[in-house]
Amino acid sequence: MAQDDDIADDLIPGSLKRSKSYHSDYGKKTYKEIKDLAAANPPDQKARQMKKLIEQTERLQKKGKGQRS
Amino acid sequence: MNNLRAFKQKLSIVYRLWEEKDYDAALAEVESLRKTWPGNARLHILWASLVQLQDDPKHDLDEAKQALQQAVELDRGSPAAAIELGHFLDNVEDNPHAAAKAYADGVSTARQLLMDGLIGQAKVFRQFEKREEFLRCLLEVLHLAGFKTVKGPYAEEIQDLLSEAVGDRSALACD
Repeated sequence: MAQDDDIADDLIPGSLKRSKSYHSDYGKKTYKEIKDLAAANPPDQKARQMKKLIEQTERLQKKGKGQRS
Repeated sequence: MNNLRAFKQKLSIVYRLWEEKDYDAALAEVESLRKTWPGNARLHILWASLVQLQDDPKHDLDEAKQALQQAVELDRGSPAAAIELGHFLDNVEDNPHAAAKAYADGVSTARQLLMDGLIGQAKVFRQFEKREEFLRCLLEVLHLAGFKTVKGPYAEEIQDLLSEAVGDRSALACD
């Protein structure tokens, strides 16, 4: 599970870094910094998109767990 | 070894590799399975998911999206592909409008599927004379149907179950 002090670039796999929602200038920010920027008023668009990529990664990683028969 | 057993064994390997975060190896296993079972929607979904998790990508994200769209077409009766496509459209493409449509399709299919299951379960509980469980299933069906028991694909079956619950079908003729 992504921790607040994890760096965005360490959380997002190379494949999703090819998405238009990935912003390399936000890659060194922590997950907490990205969440805070995304929750700001008005929300930071790049942070909002990076947050979605992090959450998608986490969701897909979990999909493989506990599925073995 | 029969085909089904081989399929399940291979899937088990895929999920073990997935848990170990060896996404490249898991993807290779899924690709091998897809050659044998090309029309399997679940394999398309697994493939698209693993492509997104690759650190050293061999496929474009557009290919992952296409695989999800194909999965939707291959198995219209299952909500899984539409829901997965919704996640992709919202989280990867940041296209919530397109995602909303995919989620709506998936949720609608899931609702129908759940209603079908609950109606069947209610009938079984009725046979076992388990009234409390029967009523719980029926309430859930009614909730899913939005308490509209007169129209829709399961209207007649819901009416039958309701009449069983209250013991007087004529009392339910409310349309």
